[in-house]
Amino acid sequence: MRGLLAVVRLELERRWVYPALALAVGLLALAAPLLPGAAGQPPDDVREAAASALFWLVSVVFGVLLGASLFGTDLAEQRLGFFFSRPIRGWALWGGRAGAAAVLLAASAALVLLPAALVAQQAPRFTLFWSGGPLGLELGAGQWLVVPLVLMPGAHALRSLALARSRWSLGSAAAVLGVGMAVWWLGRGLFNDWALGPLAVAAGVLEIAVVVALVGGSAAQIMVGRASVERGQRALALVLWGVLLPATAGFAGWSAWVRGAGPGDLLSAPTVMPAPAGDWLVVSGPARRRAGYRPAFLLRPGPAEAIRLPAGDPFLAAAIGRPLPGFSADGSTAYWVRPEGHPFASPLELVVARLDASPPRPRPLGLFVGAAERLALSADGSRLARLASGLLTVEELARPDRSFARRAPDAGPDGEIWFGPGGGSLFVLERGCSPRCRVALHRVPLPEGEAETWLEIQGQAVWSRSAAGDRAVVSVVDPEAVPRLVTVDLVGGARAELPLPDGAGWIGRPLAGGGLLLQAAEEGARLMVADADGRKLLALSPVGGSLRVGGQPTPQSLLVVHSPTLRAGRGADWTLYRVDLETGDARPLGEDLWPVADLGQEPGSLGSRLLRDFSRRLYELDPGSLEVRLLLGAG
Amino acid sequence: MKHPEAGEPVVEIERLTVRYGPTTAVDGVTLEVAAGTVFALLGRNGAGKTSLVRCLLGHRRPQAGGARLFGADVWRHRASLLSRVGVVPEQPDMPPAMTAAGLGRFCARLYPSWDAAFYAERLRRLSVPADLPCGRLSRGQKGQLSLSLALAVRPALLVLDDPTLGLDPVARRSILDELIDELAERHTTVFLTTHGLADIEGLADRVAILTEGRLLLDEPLELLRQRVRRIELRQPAAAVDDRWLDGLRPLAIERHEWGVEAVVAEFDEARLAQLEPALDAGAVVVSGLTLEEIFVSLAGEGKREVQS
Repeated sequence: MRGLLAVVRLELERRWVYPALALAVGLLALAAPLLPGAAGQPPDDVREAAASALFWLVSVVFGVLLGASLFGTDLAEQRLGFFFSRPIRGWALWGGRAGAAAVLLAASAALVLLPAALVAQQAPRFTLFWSGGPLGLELGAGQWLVVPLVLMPGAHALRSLALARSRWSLGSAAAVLGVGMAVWWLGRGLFNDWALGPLAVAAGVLEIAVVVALVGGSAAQIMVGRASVERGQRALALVLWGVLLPATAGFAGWSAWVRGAGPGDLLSAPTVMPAPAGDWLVVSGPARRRAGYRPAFLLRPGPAEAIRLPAGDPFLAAAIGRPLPGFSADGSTAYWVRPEGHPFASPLELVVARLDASPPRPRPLGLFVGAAERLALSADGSRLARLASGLLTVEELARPDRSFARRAPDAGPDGEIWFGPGGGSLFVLERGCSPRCRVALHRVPLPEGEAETWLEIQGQAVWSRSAAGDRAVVSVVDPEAVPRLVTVDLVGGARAELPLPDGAGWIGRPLAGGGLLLQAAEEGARLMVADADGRKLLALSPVGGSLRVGGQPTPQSLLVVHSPTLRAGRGADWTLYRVDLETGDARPLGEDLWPVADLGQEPGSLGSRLLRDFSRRLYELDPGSLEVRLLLGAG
Repeated sequence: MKHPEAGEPVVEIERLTVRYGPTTAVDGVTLEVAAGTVFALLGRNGAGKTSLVRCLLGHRRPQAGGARLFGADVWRHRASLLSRVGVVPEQPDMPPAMTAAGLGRFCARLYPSWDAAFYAERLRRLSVPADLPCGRLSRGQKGQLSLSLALAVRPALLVLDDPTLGLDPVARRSILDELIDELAERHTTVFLTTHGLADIEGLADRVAILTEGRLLLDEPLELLRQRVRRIELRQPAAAVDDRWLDGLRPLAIERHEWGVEAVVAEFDEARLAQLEPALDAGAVVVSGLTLEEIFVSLAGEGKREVQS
């Protein structure tokens, strides 16, 4: 202890200039309100911001200087022998110097903040460049610890390696480069897969490993190597690589394990996008023991065929403006986008896969799209349409030389496009509420011809399209708050306004087979089946409470979930019914099960039968036996 | 702190081996220094002296063998053992920004036996500025400061690694005088390595010679002086029988116009008496060698024969 205290005192005496200089720098912050750009700002805020900036500057610069001069100069000039010829233990020499340097750094950092805090008469606060505002003392101190724990010992290690020039230091430098590149490559892989949770776990473990390696390495360098530069370098190198190489190998293993998650590892499926026909779906959810990582798959559950989709959950990716994956109407083809590198990268390459091939193989098209583009596959999957800024491009996937482009109306912020029946036209649904809500349907003949506007509605509207793509129903509340129901024949372009039957809700959806489903959005649950002209055929029970419509597992049946209460969400006693559309009979199928999709899937397709419970596990309904089978998620 | 009893081993080095990669700097050296002895380790540049001292001070761990101070392993117990040891390194290694006064304060916190008054008085007497950074002191002042730091510890063992290296004759003499005074006063055990062989005449009790990492000899200086002698055969060189010369087992032979001069490592008066009758009366003159001459003869290039 005598040696430790002597070394600490010696270091504090030798380096008193650091805190003195820091105080002088802190006083500079008081003059910040005089700067030209600070006019009109509250002086206390300007001083605090200036003190924060100087705080980080001083911390980083002093951290590097103190770290680089911790032992580097003495080792280079072979002066450590002076201390090792005294009754000072190795740990006391290392601990005394490192401890004194940390104390000097902390004191210097605090002294930078002190003048501004005294003038403002409030406790010092930190501002991080990335925090967007001042942080409390505890949080700021937590961030600041990186400087004494990583930056300072890192500067010491680098200076030692540079000065020693031994074979050990050369090996260490090469390994630093190798490990750095490996960590970058592995981290980039996780980031590109949007595996931010596992990346954070790995970063935390690596940060601890780096701190242990740097602090432990520098301690071993002095305690084991003593005055010998060569032995010190060897000790430093052995500790550095003894910690960092296993940590990097562990990171590689963790990364491979995380990214190797298959559909069977999904604990639940919060994101499900079934194909309109067939039995493929896009699914994503948290994978087992992978720190919240949500891989995404194009999945066919029966034969368990799967294609891994890039960059994680497509719904999360859509939040940053990336197009969602899509299917052709017949379910035979799927497309998705692949960022070149990280998830924010642009442009995005289009990838398609024929799902009727076995096994299906992704085919990058060499076509790149921007985030704002609207995409659609033709019904048979042979053509891909892209619409951006009024330019429509139709790619012939089998014959790229037949691709063409033309002008077309834009789809607006919430619009969509799809190929018309037969593929001879493309529909552009223009939708948006800025400045007023508006829905417009344009038909664009292909490959040329004048675009026609088939429908234009001002006001709130709910738009739905039949699974076959031949009809659309628009439920409108016009500016006078009068509900209306409009149907559009998407083959011939005929438009009709239907009278609402007595007691019917104003939201209508096309049923497979030609009828309409009418649902009230308010005053509890009310369902009614009408014919194509809006004439009431059948009122469906149950009535009252809350209700949600699912798909049609068969043309004559409909899935509905109902709760007797108006409360939505978990615990509302939801019951799933299969409703017979001819008789109106409702047969309960189970509690707390929800249809995944609503009317938009072809009857009998997997999407029309998919169910999910409140734990987001995925089930399949057998339309014949009405049995429910778990498809995905922890059982 | 109590000094060891006379004769008690203070330094024990056993089969000590130091290697730097493929080069062996110290090769299985074994030696012992008893309390109260002034032990001088001699050797040419690169003989391994500094490597041996580094092991002796626990700065370096030998590849084989070990060193003990006051009966304890120095690698394991370096810090506690060095509280009784004063060290003067080959190159002054004090932190250059520190003053002599600051170093004194630092050492006072480390050594229970620190004699602050002695230290201050010695610096004053030798005109070493107490408030000037060490980096700005002359080579001689640094040497004096280094010795002052070592002596103010009131050490039981003083380890001096070529302390006069690079000093002018006045500074060298001053340091040696101080050393002699210290020895006269306190009978401190001294482990000294040096190039200045003349300096240790009359100072060292025991000498050892290290050559290419191996210990060539280790014995009391007086015994060495008696053993290694110069024999001059003053009769024409042509008349000297080579068999006679070989009988002396000489280290070196030098032929002159007046006769032959031989240096022998094992002077044996009886043997010489047996050979003498074959020579002219008064032709044989036996004389002693200086330590430097002994060192050159023993640690030189091996047996040599020159014609002058």
